[in-house]
Amino acid sequence: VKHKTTRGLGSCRRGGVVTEVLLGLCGWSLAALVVARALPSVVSPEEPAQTLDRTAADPNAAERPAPASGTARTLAPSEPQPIGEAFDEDTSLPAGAPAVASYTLRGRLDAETHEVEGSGTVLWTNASNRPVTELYLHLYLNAFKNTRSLFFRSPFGRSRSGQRTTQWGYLDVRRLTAPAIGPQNLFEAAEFVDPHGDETDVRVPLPRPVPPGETLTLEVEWTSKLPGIVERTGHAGGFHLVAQWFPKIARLEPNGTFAHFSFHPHAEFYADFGNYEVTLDVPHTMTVGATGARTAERVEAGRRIETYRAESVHDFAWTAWDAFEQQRAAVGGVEVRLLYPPGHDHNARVTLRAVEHGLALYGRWFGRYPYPTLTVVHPPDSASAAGGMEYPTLITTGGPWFSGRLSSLVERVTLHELAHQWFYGLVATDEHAAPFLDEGLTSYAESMAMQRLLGDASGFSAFELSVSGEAYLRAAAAAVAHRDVVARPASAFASFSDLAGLVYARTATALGTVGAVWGEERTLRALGRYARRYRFAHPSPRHLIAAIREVVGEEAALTLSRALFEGGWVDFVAQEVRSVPVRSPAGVFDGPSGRQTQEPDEPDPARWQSRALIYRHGTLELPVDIDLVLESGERVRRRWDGRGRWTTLEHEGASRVVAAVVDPEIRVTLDQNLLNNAVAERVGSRARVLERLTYLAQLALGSLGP
Amino acid sequence: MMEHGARRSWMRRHLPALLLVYAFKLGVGLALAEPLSQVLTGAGVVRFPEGDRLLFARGGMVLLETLRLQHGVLTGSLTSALILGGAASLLSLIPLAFLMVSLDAQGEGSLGDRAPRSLGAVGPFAFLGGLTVLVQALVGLAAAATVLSSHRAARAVLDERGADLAALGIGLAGLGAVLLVGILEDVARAEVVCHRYTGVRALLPACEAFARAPMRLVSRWGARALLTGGLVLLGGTAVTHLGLEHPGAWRVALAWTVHQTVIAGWILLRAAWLGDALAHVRPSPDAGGVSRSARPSPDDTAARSGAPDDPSRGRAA
Repeated sequence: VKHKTTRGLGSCRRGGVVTEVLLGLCGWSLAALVVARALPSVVSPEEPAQTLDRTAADPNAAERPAPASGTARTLAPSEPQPIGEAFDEDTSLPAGAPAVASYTLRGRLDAETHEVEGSGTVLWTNASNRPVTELYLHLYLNAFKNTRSLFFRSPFGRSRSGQRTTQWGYLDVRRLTAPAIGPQNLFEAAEFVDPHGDETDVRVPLPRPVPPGETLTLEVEWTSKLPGIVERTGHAGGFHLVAQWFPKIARLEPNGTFAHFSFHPHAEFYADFGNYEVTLDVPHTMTVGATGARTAERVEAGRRIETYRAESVHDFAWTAWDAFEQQRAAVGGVEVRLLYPPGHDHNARVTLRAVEHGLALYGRWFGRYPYPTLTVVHPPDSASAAGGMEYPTLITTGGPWFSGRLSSLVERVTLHELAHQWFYGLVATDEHAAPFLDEGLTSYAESMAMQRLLGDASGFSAFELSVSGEAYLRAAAAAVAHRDVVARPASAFASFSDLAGLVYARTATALGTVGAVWGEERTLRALGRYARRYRFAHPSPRHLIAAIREVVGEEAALTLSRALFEGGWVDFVAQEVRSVPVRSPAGVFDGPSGRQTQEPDEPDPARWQSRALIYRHGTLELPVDIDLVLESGERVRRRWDGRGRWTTLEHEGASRVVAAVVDPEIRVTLDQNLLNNAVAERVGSRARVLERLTYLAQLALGSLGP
Repeated sequence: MMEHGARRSWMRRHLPALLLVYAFKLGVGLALAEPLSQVLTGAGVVRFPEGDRLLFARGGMVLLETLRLQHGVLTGSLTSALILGGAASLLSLIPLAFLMVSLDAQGEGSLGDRAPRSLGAVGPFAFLGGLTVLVQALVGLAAAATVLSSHRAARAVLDERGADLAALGIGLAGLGAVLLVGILEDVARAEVVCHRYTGVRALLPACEAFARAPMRLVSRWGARALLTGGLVLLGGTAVTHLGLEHPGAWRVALAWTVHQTVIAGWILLRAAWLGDALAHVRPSPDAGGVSRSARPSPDDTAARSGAPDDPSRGRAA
């Protein structure tokens, strides 16, 4: 093949070159346009047609305000009393919780319609000091029944994780009777609490008062229609995570008021302890995992029937799927069962390692895990919204099949949900009214556990960069510091991102600061004392602060209290350093020998007087270390108690102070701005960043350029 | 394997062009990095006696704080850097043309002779670049769409891992197609330089030249790409062990040296590949103008001329 040689480039017409350059530019621009237009639709295809859009279904719903449920409820059953060192040991732990609401249930799953036919008996005791004339039931699945639910009204139908359900779900109570009171169906007289149509919170009048101490036997029949997976419940294909699936009696506080609330997308749950015995009936091909220990199992007529028993718990969740793979292991006397999708074997190994680490660590810190079983469910990718949730003795983790190899996601989620077994599960705080007591303490525990497992790289690690989980929490906390206070009901936050930043991150950061300033061991001991003393006791925020006060001290308790309840914040600012040569005293002096005038002498170049000015902005008074950096390279450490708006630090010596650094070890992670913590006479080097960015730019140019 | 003397001779002949390419990359790198480094360090890290090594400290507390506080400014600076980088990509056609003309002339001729040829090649290069980016974007998007739709379909019959791996396979095939377009572009550039074609005129001969020995071209390009990737990885690993969070200007100097050595190595490998592409399309004197690539023994020309244009041919093959 012989190609005709065209004109020499030297004689190339200028117009031709220009044309080709322009054509080339057009090509580049067109490519950019094509990518910009097409990429979003390729990456984020439209949602499935059956996605429920609340605005399409109920255009007026957005105008209705969401009720501020739960905001005025009394939290603490009693004023906190001194706890004492006895609760540093597991010997102080109660054997079990008093059974206030015990459920014996049977659920039959229709895997085709995703409905559970339920029936059973509830033994409910009036554990308050007043007669009760009505019951409140939570029918949480009705949050997904229609667009009038508080769930759909509040964040436009999106869950905490931003996902929507693809199929409606609901819970129909067919019959509720109390034979001791009468044969009538009590539910016929029931009324929904929310005036705007939410059906998750129901008041059931009783024909006669139930006096304190009396146990009422209730018989109930219902049907649960599971939604498309949302908010950690529902189904995705054949996978079912069946949570909040039965009519649940609201917790009765000691003062005789029920802690009842409509199900808000920001909120979780609150209930009385009891014993659960649940018989599950599913297609025989399915593998079942559930709260508690399996006590019976049989297959008949194509159905698998398994019975689970759990004592001293306040909820019961289960899962069923015909594709589960499973592993079992005994960890410190606990039978750990892992249920995971095919292809997730490595994730299962990582999960098990995290469970071993967490059970040992949390058990030592917060009291031993009291249950004989722990089931860890890794939902399939199609049901990722079921991941990262806690139920008594059953937790869900998450992540793609490769996440165990590429990141610390599996460890992090597993350790977080496992910590919930203590901070939610065993203490059973009100997750609706005081979410920081479960999510905040859990985030702190998770951060501590991750630090011990993976060190400073617990969040991210690549080449020479490593980021700890604590750093992520601190950054998230600082970003929302002034948006709201931490100690608020879940439904009172403006958005879930506010709740996440304040409840999860800021609580953990505040506890981290307390630990770093007054001692991590003491802080963990305080949390351990709180967790042991109030195991099965539904403590309030005041009980937590009291435990901190008792173990860590008054200052720490005050700081934590301000940080959580008052939006307390702090920002240390290193303002200036100045040095002058030392001079002898000069001026007019009156002494025993009469008045003398001393003229200023020449400054002594061998001695310097230096001064650093440090400000503290904000409402938190925290003690900090301050390093005075001398010209010789030596550092002189001073301590400031953090009281007052500012302080000056004086130094006299042979070397000038050239810089001052507040909190050099970054103990006060609550500090709102870490970058103003230093001041120096000379600007520090930025050669490392310039070198690295230059190299990255060269690499990018080499990869993307011609 | 090329002899040591031949390699030195090759280097000497093409040194000005290679230096021009390196200087351009360094200049652009610095121009892009300087404002970004100002943004990253200007928030306050340089107020610390430790300077910017705090950004590399384990735990990343200061790094995250810097990113948090400078997020808005950094986004703007990155956008500017992206635009500047795009313009630099276009400008980098000039040193590339100088390099390819130098490789084609095998170092002979004065700079004055080569400059007009090089500048003349920029126009066709720009056209080819634009066309390549457009085709690559279309191929990439088609591949992405195929990956996503096939992933959904695969989920019906395979488990998560199987479906992901199947999609990854399709994605890699798409990436291969994108890279193939890039190889074709280089061959077309070689046609432009060697035969002094316009960009449009070079397309068909380039495709024909590629079709005559696709495996040879892909393997030559692939070997250089793999070596480059290995070099980058090696450099990254080496610098990781320098401990940039610790004090010492020597660490920065060493990191700079390692990284610039990687860049220089990359440029040499790229030049070696472009030399190959030029040799592939160069007409053979004894074949009456027939491309050398049509001949059964592709290394003849180099052996014949005694001045092979690929310093790493023996190593890479």
